[in-house]
Amino acid sequence: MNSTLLRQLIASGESITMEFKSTLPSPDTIGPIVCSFLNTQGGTLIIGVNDNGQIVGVDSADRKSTEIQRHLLDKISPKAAWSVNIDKVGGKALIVLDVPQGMESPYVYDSRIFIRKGTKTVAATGEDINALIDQRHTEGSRWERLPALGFEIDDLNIEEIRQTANEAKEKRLYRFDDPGDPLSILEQLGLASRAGIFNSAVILFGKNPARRFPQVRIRAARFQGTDELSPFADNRTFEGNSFELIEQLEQFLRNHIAIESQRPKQGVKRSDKPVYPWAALREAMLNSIVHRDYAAFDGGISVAIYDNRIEFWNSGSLPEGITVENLKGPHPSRPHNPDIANVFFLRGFIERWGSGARQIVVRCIESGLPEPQWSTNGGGVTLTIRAQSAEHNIRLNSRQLALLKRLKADEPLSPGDYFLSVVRQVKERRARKDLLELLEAGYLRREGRGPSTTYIRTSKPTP
Amino acid sequence: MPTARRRKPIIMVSSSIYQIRDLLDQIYAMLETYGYTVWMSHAGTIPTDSTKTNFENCLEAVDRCDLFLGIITGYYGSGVDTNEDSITHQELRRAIQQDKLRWFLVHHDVTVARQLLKQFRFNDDGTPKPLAFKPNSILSDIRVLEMYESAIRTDRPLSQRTGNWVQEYSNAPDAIRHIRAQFEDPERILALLNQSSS
Repeated sequence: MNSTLLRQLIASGESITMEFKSTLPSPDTIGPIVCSFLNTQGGTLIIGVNDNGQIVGVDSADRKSTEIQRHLLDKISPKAAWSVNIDKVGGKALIVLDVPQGMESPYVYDSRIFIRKGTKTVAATGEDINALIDQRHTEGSRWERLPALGFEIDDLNIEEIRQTANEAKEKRLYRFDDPGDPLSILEQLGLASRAGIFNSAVILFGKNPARRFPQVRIRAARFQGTDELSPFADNRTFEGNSFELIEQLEQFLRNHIAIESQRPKQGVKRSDKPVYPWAALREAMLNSIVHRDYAAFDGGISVAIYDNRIEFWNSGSLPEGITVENLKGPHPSRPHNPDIANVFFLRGFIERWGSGARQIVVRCIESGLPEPQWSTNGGGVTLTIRAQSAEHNIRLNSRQLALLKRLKADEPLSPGDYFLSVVRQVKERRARKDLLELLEAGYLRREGRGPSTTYIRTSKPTP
Repeated sequence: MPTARRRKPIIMVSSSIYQIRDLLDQIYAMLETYGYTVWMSHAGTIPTDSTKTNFENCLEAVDRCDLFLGIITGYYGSGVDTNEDSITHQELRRAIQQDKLRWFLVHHDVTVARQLLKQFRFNDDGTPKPLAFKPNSILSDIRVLEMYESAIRTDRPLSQRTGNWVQEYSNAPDAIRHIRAQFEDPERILALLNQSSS
């Protein structure tokens, strides 16, 4: 995890979802804490930080984190998707366990059930267990666990299932009872039962899931402009299982994300970097695929690339207790589709739990971009990542400044009038660029298309 | 004989293990927390005597426990050899013979399979018909249905059936809810034990 993020997390202090340990405790201490997070609200255990939030670090973190993983895999049931990572802050290694709230409670560690009460992990009483059972009953069935009627194992991409088993073993030390049997692999991952495969398996591994679930399709568009009325430069619809969708969408983004060339202050070699940080885009893409609502046939994902921003929209809502305000800060993880999310985790697409939104924010800010924004609308969640504000890049010329001084807020301007007003100074091509720069910098907005295009002066003050 | 006056009732949980390990772990932890001593081979808590075979130890545990919880899934489990009834089947049979206070959970697939296969297993007069059965992902052995029929006491006329409550479950939450409803109050169970031993 990025050290800024980690410092933020540590600064938030111990709580129902956060525990620090200064030295590596015995597995018998770690197990109950992880179990209690699974049974309560999820949480993070950071080893190498004392109770006062001081970073002291852990020696031999690599070896120890592997031991912890093996122990927890063996002792916690049902299988859950916690992650163990090593992070460095100020040269000191920390072992960080991120644990999303489980949806198969009661979770058991070594034949006992633990819950979180305040900042403490305690053994559950009979009443506590009953409360966990009631809560699970209230939540009802998940769409991803419903039988995919009419689908057989042959309708799935067997190679993809095998690859999942191999990567889970290699990356997460996961053990399968019968790694040679695709159905057994799916059963162990909660993606099938003896009677058949579940919707989640079709979404993840289906040969053509859109035949049955049209909502898996992703719409992706590149607009030549800054709003949805602008003409398309490219407009696609992608189909396939989750892994095929990721590949197609990633390629689309790579094709359309502008590369910015920069000349270093010293030396002559120019460096090229995408206008948007790939890490943030990738996280946004995965978030929309993993955490979206798959239940409704009219749901989906759309990705719109404009001249000045990218919008990722997916159907669904934020998990209970998570708002667009607290999403960017430390918050417990509660995946909407835990079985689907778990496969992404086992495959290594997700490195850790509960930090996706914060990663996007930090990556954007590190790249000099404005803070990305989330909003809920139209039965879905939209993430907007803005390109670096054009005002940082352009220096307004005298024509542009004169124009801005002349126009009042909301006053329209036809491009033709502007071209005429500067016809003695520059060619029309340069005049057109003046307007585009002002548009991108937010001084103007555009209405209409083609010959009927009109620019409107925004309320942004003239510099 | 039941040991009704013991403070913690002993419950034996009997089932095949394949594909329900997690559920068994949950049931074990729940019952322990509610206040029972749980004997379960998956948890390694069956008392053993090294002079006896594994099967003998398991059957003796059935004799000695206060309460018996049988879980019938589509997996039959294993016997000493393929022709012999599985240990789970034998435990279930022994619990019924001993008239233990007992509870059964049966997976929905098993109840559906029984209804579907009834026409192929029995003649119109109720006598058994030979059936060429191939193991499949729903039923690993046709004797799973015999276990279920033992549990619901099809050997007796309807009016004489007692101890034949078998709860169907489709998934882990169903099973967990039933376990909670039956066992959350050990005092009630102790009262039942006292009743049955008096």
